[in-house]
Amino acid sequence: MTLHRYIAEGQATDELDGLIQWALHESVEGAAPSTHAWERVLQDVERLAALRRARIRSIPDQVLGAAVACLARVDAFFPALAAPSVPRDECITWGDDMGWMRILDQHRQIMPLVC
Amino acid sequence: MTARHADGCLVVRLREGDLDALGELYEQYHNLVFRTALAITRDEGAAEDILQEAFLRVYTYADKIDDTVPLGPWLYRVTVNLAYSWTNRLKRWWNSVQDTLDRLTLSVQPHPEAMAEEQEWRQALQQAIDALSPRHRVVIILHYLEGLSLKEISYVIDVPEGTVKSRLHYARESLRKSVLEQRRRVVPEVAYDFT
Repeated sequence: MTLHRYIAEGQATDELDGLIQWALHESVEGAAPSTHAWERVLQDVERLAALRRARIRSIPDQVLGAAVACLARVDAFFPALAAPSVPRDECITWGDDMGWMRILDQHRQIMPLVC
Repeated sequence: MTARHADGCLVVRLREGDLDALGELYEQYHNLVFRTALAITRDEGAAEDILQEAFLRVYTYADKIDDTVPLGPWLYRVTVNLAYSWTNRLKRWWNSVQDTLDRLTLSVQPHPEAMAEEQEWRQALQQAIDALSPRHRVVIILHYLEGLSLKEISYVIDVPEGTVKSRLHYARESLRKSVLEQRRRVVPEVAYDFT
């Protein structure tokens, strides 16, 4: 829109205000983001959503790890708990697992002291 | 209990992971964000980066957005803050100063071709607006381009209404002087004052 038309159409009550408004409108007239802008927003959002989902899935493991570490700190007699040598989903064969053997051995040593 | 705004319904859907709701908000507000960012930064690439970042923030902070009010003022706030950060980065700021200086130098040199009067006016005013400090420029853009009230600008830039009023007055006075200088240059015998 031309300056004269802008002023004539009464889009501004004051001449200086009209000039400023007109210049600013002209400076962005017809400007628009590229058609790919939304696709990029969506890509960023989907990446962030995937990251969030991954973070939520990893929380139980983090909580478990933190709890185990905490227990290990509190009870220095059972360091084997902090790093279990047997995968969680497998059955423990008591006699074959050195970690549990150590715990039982420590327990045997402690008992006379507390009794 | 306060009624939920129409934008708020979309925000609630977004909180539940509905990306179509974000699409609807984008459709509604992308021009506002892009135009404001462009007016402040004067750089289309930067304006597009700000647009992307602003909508990423809508998604990130959906839980914290007030769903009882329109999203516009919140988006203005995010846009202005992002544009401030962009402008304040030393290198870009220096380039912008250099550009302004180049344009000013160019404008005092005799132009080989007669420029159209309107083009000259627009250029002069745009230079004057660019020469304002970012905090004054933002107030001018929000008031004159976006038509926000003093109260709305006060919320967007997070300063008291009185400060907005004084910044607007200062910026307007500065532009008035620039326009008068331009008028004296173009038509030396007609140098009347503005209201």
